[in-house]
Amino acid sequence: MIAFLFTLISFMTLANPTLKWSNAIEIVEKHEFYKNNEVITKPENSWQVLFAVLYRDENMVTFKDCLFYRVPGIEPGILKLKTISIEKSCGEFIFSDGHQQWSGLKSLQFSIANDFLSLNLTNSNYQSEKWDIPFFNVYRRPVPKILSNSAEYRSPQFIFLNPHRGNAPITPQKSIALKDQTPCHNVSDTCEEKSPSICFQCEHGWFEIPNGCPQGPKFCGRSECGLKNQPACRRGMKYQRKTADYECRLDQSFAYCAKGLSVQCQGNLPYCL
Amino acid sequence: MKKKAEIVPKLIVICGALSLLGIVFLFFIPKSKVETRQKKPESTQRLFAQVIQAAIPKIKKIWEEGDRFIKKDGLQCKDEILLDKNVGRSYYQCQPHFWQCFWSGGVNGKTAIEVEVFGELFHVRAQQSFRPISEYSAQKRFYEILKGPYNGLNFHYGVLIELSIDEVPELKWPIIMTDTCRDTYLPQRIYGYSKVDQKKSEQGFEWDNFDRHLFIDKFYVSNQMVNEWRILTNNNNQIISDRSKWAHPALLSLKEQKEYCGFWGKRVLEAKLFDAATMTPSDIKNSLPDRVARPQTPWQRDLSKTFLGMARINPDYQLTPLDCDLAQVQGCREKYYTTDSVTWMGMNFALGFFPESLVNNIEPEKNIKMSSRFRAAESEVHELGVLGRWSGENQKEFPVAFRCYEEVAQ
Repeated sequence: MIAFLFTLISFMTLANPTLKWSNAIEIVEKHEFYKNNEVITKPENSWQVLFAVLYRDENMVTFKDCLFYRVPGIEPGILKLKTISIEKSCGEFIFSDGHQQWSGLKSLQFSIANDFLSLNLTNSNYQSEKWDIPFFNVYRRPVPKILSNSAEYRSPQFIFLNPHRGNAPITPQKSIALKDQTPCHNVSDTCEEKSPSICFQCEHGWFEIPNGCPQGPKFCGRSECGLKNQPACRRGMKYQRKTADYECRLDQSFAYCAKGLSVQCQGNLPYCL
Repeated sequence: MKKKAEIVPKLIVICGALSLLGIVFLFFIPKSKVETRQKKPESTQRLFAQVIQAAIPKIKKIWEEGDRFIKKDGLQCKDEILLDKNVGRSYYQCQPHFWQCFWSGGVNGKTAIEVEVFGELFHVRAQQSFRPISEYSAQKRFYEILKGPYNGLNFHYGVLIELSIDEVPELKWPIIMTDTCRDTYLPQRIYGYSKVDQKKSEQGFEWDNFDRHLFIDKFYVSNQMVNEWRILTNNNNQIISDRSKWAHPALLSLKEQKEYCGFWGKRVLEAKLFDAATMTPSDIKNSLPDRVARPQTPWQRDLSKTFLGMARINPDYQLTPLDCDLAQVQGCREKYYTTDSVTWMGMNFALGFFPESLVNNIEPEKNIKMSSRFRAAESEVHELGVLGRWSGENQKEFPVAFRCYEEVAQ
């Protein structure tokens, strides 16, 4: 709570949100009807949620900035920004006071691209202010190739946190890592991915129990695969140079055990005995 | 009337010639300077952001290729990092101690980098914002090592820094740099494990890594890297403080090796991965070959054509510096972090150098690469696929190095 208030106060001292938004992780809750660069004129005199920006502060706490707009009608338009915690929805705060506000607006346009956000505010004197915000942390995972490294495969080389004022020490907040043996990638015997992999959050890495699928089920922690009473090791499904569905009881060539041990199937999962 | 008709073509010719002269003349007139310079933003925040962004390529260079900044007179940071002629320049890349030395002015005497933007010169510097590590020095640090995960950020090892600009003093920008120098990708293809009898046309043990993303450390884990682990796990009393040994391979027990790699979400390198990384494929472009080659060295399929083969038949063979660069065997000068032995996929130290711990889940008792700097060039251990048995305890008379690998989850 204290960290939240401190961050809020430090943000209030910044004139507009362009700098902190340049560290955006994701744009969420985007208005379903407004199109990029369209002047927003309807519905007149109503408050609308334009979008919300998720970003991390310098201590790596994630925040959500909701951007509300009262569409001009009888009265000029108002742009309102409210910083809330990530688990809340902007809709809950549509009529609350904002942390920052820009009033007397004649028109407003915005556009959101993958790595860029732009807002154009025009006041009743037809003076306009443009916010162009490149997203520095936008990252597309590359296809790894020879001589590439794991760091750049996993995340951008430079991860920009939120710029700040003053000499307050940075105290990065760690997230809770997944403990050993926690399932981190749920893949069924029929190769169906039941939930996406969260194995990067494991405290001490992860291990896979091969099941003849391109991706097998994975668990946090270490395993001495191939040894007695341990899961078998993954051997692959292409070195056999044939196209086949690999079922443990019919063809165990996708897995192997150490010399002297044999593969025993538990469902479609091979273990070494 | 006739005269007028004669004048018209003459006038056309004269006008044409004058126009041509004019064009030529204009070509030689110095062009007035066109204002193409980007306008300096009025907002402090935007100026700050743009200058920092402009500085990032230089920052990247200091971090990833810091060795390029080292001058003839070496490094002036005795409390931080030493320049040793037996240590390759790779040691200074993505190296936090070099980073500390650079911003302390120990590399080129400067504590800021200059960036020219909007026709003005800005001075960008790293801030000394982080708590000191008393085992190293009482000075505050220019970085802090982070161990992930952090709120959805996908990194295991991060170096937190803070950048500021002298000309925009009110703002600071914290940034996490990742270790882009450490490992290298094992391409997806069919591989073979160990030696096979070529005459019997055996295929031996084959496997593939399709649909997997495997990254192998380029070098052995060093004492400096293990020191970082000791600090992060509150085992500061086990830090090796002798800076001259920081680039040397860390000599840990097998249990500690597994703990070290596991701490960073990695595993101790496996024997089959070592073979994959060192046995150069016959055709790199064909990932599904009918037959997987098992060359005897990373540089020549046939060992007899290499200096190791020559040494086997000639007891008086004299090692050359080039031989020692390829495989540091007995009689070679000690060198660390060298890159002349690099294999086809970017890993170093395939033969010679140190005995290396290898987890082997095919033949568990064969858990060490035998070829090393402790064996003479003519020894038969200097061949790919030759493994031995190690108890798992490191001893002074038989030091065993290790490295980690990581499989990055999809």
